[in-house]
Amino acid sequence: MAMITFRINRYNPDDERRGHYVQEYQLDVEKGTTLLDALNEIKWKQDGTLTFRRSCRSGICGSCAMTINGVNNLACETQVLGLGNSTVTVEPMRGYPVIKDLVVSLDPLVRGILAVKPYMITHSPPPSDQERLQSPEEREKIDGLYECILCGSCTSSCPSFWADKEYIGPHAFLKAYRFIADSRDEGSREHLEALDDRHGLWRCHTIFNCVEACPKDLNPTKAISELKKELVRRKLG
Amino acid sequence: MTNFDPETIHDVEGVPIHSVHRHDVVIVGAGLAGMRAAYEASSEFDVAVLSKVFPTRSHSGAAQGGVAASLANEEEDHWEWHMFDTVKGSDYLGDQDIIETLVKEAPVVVREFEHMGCPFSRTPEGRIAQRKFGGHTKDFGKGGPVLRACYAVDRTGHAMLHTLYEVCVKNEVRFYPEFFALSLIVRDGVCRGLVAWDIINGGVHVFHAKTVMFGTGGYGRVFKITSNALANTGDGLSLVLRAGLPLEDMEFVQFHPTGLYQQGILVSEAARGEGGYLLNKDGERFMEKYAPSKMELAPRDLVSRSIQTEINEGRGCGEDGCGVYIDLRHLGEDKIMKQLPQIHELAWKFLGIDCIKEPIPIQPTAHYSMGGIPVDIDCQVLADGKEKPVRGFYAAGECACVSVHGGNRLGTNSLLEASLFGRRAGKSIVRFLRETRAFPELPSDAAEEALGEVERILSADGSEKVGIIREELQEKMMLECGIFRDAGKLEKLTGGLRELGKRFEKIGIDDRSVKFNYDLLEAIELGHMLDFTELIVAGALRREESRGAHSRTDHPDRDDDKWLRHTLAWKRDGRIEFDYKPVTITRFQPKERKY
Amino acid sequence: MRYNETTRSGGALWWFFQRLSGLYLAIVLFTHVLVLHVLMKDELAYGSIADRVATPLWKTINISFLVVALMHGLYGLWIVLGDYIHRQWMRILIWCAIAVIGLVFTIYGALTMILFQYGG
Repeated sequence: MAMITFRINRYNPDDERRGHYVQEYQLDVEKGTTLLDALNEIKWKQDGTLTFRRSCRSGICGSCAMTINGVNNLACETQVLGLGNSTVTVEPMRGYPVIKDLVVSLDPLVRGILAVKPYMITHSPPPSDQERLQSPEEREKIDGLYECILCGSCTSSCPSFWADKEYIGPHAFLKAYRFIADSRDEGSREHLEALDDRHGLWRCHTIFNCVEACPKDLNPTKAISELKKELVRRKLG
Repeated sequence: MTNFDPETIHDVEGVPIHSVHRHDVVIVGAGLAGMRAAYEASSEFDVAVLSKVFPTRSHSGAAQGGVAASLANEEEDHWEWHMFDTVKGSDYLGDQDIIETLVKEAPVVVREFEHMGCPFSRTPEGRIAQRKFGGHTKDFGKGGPVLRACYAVDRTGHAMLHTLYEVCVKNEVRFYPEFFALSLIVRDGVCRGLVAWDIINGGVHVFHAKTVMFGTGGYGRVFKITSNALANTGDGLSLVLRAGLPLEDMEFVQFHPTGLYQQGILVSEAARGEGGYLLNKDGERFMEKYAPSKMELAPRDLVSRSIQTEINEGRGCGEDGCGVYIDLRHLGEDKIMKQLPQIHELAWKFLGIDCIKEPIPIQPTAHYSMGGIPVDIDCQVLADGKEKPVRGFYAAGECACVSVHGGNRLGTNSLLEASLFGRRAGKSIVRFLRETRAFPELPSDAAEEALGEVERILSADGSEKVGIIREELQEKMMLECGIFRDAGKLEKLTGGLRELGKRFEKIGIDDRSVKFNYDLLEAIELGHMLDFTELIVAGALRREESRGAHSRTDHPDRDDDKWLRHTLAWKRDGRIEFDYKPVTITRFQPKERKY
Repeated sequence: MRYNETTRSGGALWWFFQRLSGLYLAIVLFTHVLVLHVLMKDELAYGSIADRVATPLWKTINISFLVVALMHGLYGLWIVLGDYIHRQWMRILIWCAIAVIGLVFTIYGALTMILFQYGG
């Protein structure tokens, strides 16, 4: 049990004059309490106006990504006492337009995803009454890619995105590569098309922030490198 | 209205004209059922999907273990075996004609998912890999566990959900993310659309539609310990009730045997399917006593009761003695990291336990609602619960009760049911729309009820807090309507619920703005929860027998003479009315259920 | 968002060029150090260096070094600036400026190298 101070970055769209401000809340926290538990406790018992997204609270839906002590993470997967400070600073994820308190607009995320044609493209019909075959080795190539929960942590931490709001973003590159690496997909050209763009792949300067930010330990930078190589291979050959 | 012109946009009192939308199909819920239906119908018609969370945040994504289909990729299997297991698992309350459809169509549905791009795990031959799951057996229960659950590592739901989102994007389904359904527009037995709240910007919107489909999911959140998401508050069920329609078999709530201790977060049944043991605090593998032949792979209701019995008799672990252990250590690091990586991650992140070296403390957790909106085999909602459909209204997935799960659902049958009946709903919507050109008339007072509700709550300034009433509701439901029930506890709970209902009328909220106001939404959700929990409790009190997940300590036996029938319940003028309908039995006559 | 022909970057070949040119620059620099400070037998003086620089082989090497280094550096600059400059007319202006700088230095450097003469 420890008294923790939560410094929460707040913003109420109905009160533009006040703008962004920091509000402090105090809460007794036990071992096992996640940041999401703590935020819920504050919302339910202290201040109903505190606003944040949440749903599954088991790290699979991706709703509660936020910036915690300066680092992007899922609130539901963050043990408060594990942070090791008596003060915890919580902010909305950087780079996205803030809607209210810790809630940000998902529009940049969705735009990026839509740009890469985020679905399996095939031109030959599937075998009838059978699955397409894929060896375990081929299947292994999309491990570390299909697990993305679209929480937005990576793109929010990316300096290229900070500088260019139309940048497609590491989350979308990971998605694109998930299909290009899939032995069943026949539409690499179409997935790659949007990437060779001023706001595309070449804006990535391998800063690796996305890798550090990913709460699911995925590696968008590696996916981006593979995509770059793939594009060059196509241009040359 | 005499001058009704189906082609003009209708005015709705209190709603600006640009907030009145028209679509051929309006689907509420973007989980497996909703998006599967959207995908099906969007190849021909204009489909809109409303969801209170962004589509890929839907709770279908939390399903881990697998989706059942007798593909026989790994070993011999037949749909007849799958049917027997489902019927027996349901404690003979499932309708067998519909279960037959479920198990026969299962392979098609799973293969279609593969064709859409779902990243299933593979066998060495390159086919979809399958694993064991509780209650799924060979040779009509006579053989051992069968490899039937098709899986994508232990992220099957996640993989299927994202695949559906992807193909919906491909089909240009129009999503309305973060829209919250407020009321259904049903008049004269015809569904005409629905009213919803735009969470991000605030404001009431009317969706005028030829067909409405609900895939609104379950209501695990009425229990304190649950595997369900915070969003799973069963809103769709009470919207249906408020529209004067019945709900079916609400007393059947499944408790999953293995939720993380005190958190309730799901530890997939795949953990037992891959060979995990259940141990009490003395290290005894107690399932030997309760299900000597199937052991840990007995169906969920039985395993949960066994765990709860161990706990009640003082052999539980943890500070409150309310847990037991699931032990994976003997599986070895390789198998755990390859087949159950998410479980390893969850145990580590939430309990600080490395399941390669230590057993994981778990406890039963409210997981799935077998009951719901009564629908026929084509997913049409039934106005009388029996055969009279509401024109243009469909439901599928956990919110619906078609009834394939009867008294108890088998693991991996839920992803199957949601996607299979989502697909069927899509197909029957397409059939309906091919014959129906005109929009139904939209009454001008369609939004009255919804506008009133929002206004009432936004201006509520009473002394009661939503969070506190909800917490009491969850605690009461857990204690008095949990795994073991009896008349005394249920009667006490009936009074308790009435009192909570009265207190709910005196709530006050802090946030009075319209933009992204979760304070408002949580209050509306609590209203829904209070509405339909009454039916759960009343149904449980009436059903004086023990069947499937409904276990009455004062009536410990199954009573087929009196209770081999489905409960239907309405709420009229605040009173609950009951009706019953027989169970369809085709191939398998009810027998004693032993594992 | 404009994912279409007008924002097509042609970045693939440039990206590849940056990798290759980087490698080339590293090799040339390494060779320079090797030749000048390790293998050189003569005294390290103007005469001995100038002798070498005046040979056709070294003229070629040095001109290629000049061109590749300018392209590599200036394109790198363009990429970094491109992160922050989004207005089309600014982009055109800066692209032209970089091209002019590149051209001027290439010509000036190349002439210096080509016209250089020493001794016999």
